[in-house]
Amino acid sequence: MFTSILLQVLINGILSGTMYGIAAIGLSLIFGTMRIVFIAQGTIIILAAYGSYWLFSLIGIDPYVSIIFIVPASFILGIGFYQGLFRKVARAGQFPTLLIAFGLMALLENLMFVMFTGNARAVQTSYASYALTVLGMKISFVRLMAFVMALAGTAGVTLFLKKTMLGKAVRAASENLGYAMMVGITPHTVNTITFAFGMGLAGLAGVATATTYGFDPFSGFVFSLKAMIALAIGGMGSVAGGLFGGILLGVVESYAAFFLTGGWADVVSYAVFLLVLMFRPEGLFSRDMSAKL
Amino acid sequence: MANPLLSVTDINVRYGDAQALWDVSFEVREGEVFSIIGSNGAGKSTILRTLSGFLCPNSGKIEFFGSRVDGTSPMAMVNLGISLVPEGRGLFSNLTVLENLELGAFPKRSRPLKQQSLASALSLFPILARRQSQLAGKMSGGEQQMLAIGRALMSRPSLLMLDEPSLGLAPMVVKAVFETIMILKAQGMTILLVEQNIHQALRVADRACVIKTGRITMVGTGKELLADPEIHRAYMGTLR
Amino acid sequence: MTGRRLFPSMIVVAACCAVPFVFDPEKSYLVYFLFTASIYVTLAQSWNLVAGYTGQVSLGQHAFFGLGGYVVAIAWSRGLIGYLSPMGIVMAGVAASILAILIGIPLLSKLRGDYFALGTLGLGEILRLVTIQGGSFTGGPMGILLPASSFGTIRPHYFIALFLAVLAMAVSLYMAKSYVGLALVSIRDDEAAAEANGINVLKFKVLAFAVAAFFAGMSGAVLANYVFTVDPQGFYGLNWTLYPVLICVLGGAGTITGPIIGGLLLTAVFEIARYFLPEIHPIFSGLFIILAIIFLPHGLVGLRVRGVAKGKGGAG
Repeated sequence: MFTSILLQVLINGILSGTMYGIAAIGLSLIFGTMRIVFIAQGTIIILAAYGSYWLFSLIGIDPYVSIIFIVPASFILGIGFYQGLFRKVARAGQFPTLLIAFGLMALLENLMFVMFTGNARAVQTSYASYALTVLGMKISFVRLMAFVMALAGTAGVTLFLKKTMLGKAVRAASENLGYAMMVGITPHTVNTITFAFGMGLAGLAGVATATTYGFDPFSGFVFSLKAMIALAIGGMGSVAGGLFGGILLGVVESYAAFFLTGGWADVVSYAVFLLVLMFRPEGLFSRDMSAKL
Repeated sequence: MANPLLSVTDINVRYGDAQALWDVSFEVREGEVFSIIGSNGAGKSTILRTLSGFLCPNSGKIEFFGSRVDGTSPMAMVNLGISLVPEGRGLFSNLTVLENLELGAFPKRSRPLKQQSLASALSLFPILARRQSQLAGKMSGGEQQMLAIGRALMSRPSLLMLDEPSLGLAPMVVKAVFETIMILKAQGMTILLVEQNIHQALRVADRACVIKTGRITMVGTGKELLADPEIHRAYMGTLR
Repeated sequence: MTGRRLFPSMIVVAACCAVPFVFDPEKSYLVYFLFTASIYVTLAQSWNLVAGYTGQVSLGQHAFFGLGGYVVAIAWSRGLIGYLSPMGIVMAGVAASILAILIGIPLLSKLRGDYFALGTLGLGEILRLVTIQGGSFTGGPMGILLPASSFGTIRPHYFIALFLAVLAMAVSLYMAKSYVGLALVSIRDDEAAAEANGINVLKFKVLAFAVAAFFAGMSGAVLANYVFTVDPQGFYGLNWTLYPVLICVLGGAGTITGPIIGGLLLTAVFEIARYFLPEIHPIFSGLFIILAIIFLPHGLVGLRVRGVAKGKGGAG
């Protein structure tokens, strides 16, 4: 009996963990080429979540259908953000770029707060509380869908990176930008691509968030932190690592929430984060062939 | 006499307050192998970094096929037809041999001919054909050097620049590398070679120059410099 | 600062000291304005030290700020210290520095600046969450209320804040001109070279971080004394990192006068925005950071903000 509860906790952890994972993959892509941790990632996810929410509340578009609009829109937004905000400062180094990300996060958060108020939102579809029963365990339908979406997103990005020339260029530039320039790869090109994909993934995660959690304008910051934790655990600059890190984080959180009261579960997550950063910053899954950074 | 392919005139390069190159001038003619020799820290790598677009000379000019190229970005340089094999090979260790080669054809002008270039690179270096799916980081030094040269050829350059190709390689492998250089020259490639291995560098060179603390001190044909007693004394110790 | 510039600064400081006597603190807005500006300037100078001079982007000043506020609040509510106790304020600063040293040593010993930035971000969150969980010790999510009846006039608060700001500037100045400053800047510009030159990079990084924490902690303590309450959201809020960053970016990081000008400007802008556009004013902080970095990369005072992009990969 107890084992089936533990298993249930595990499953929930894996399901929510993939959401962190997909946010982490976006971070990982951007980090690979621009060498900054894009702190505003979580806030963009929330922006997309609001998009999905308003499409549903005002026009009645089902969130899973809204993916068709939101993901491409996020993609284009990513290109726009890079060209508009980051392109000029990319040359100035990581410091200003990091600060712009920080500023963007603050700007978007407060903008959403002013426009949408701080009330928590969630998309309440007719099937929101539907749960499947598999092997004696209840699995929430929307969480399962979020899981599927995350996997699909991961697969899409992996295919892009492995099979297309641009994807290979991104991988090359992530490993060594100087060498990439020697074969004619322009930094701005790969930066734009990773930004676009990073935002696209954020859009996907946003729809998933809207269907599974309540959110408010300031949830983004915590989401970013969780994604960073996932990335730190899994290894910066590694797509698979990001996903695994996210899942691991989800599982740790799930068990912590189960065994500990209230807010301590979050403390555990951050404590793990700090410990990993302090003592094994290359992550638990890093398998980089080039010399350790 | 035909116009030189590459013409470097009085370039000065400074790193902050330290000057690395002083009034450096030389030219590379089409179809020849031109070697730059000198000891560590003399400025050889600085020259290549400047020629490949990573550094902008503080003064002087660089002309490629008669047009000014000093200050151009590295990406534009490759697109113009100047390809660099950097010191340390410059490979993407996490990518496979094939992927490294494919990326060599990334510049726009070389993309239409990618399959052709790939075929000739693989026939020039059969070992690469056998190891296409291996990660570049897992290969031996000699194999990596072949891959690096192969990748540089993928961009169909008019000028191939090699930075210390013999570095860290066993003598047998070094021999193979220089044989490859001779083959490429026979195919009509113009090669600029920067080397610490004086003997090999001068042996394959049509013309060469010596750089010492940022200045060109001698210019001549490969044979001339090879026989020069000063060079023997300064660089080759008791080799002969 | 040469003697030439020292004299005008002393005039300015003297003028600031005179303000609460010339203007009636109860009725004049200027006193409150300068008080608030002083706190921001102190925080900005502290961040400047660790980020502008040493090149380590800390995103966790709010952790030390909040800690300082809470140390004072906890000690005061238990009768260990009294209203505006100097010992309390110093204690807050020391507590913050100790935390900085403990966290700083492992975080700063890694070569990557991002780890440090992330770690400090996480630190703030951890402290905030732990404080919420703290039960009666920390007052939980509601925080701690302090005896407001002790409040007489804003004057002592004003002078303490002013003193702190001047002290922060003096310490920054001293560190900048001394061997320490030279070491810090060389670390910012090229860590590997600094190490090769025999500079104990870790020691100096941790030193800068600890001094920055010291001032941030004291700032928090000063604010706690003024508002007579501490709570997790207000004192551990990200704003306390956002504002000093913005100030330094606007005014020019890596300089001494930059944070001052930026601090005054920012306080002015916020107060104006709060008065005329009360709903929208939080948006501005983020917007300003972005605009400032894009259009004023050197800040108003005009010193370069060095990037840390070395080695493989890069931002542009």
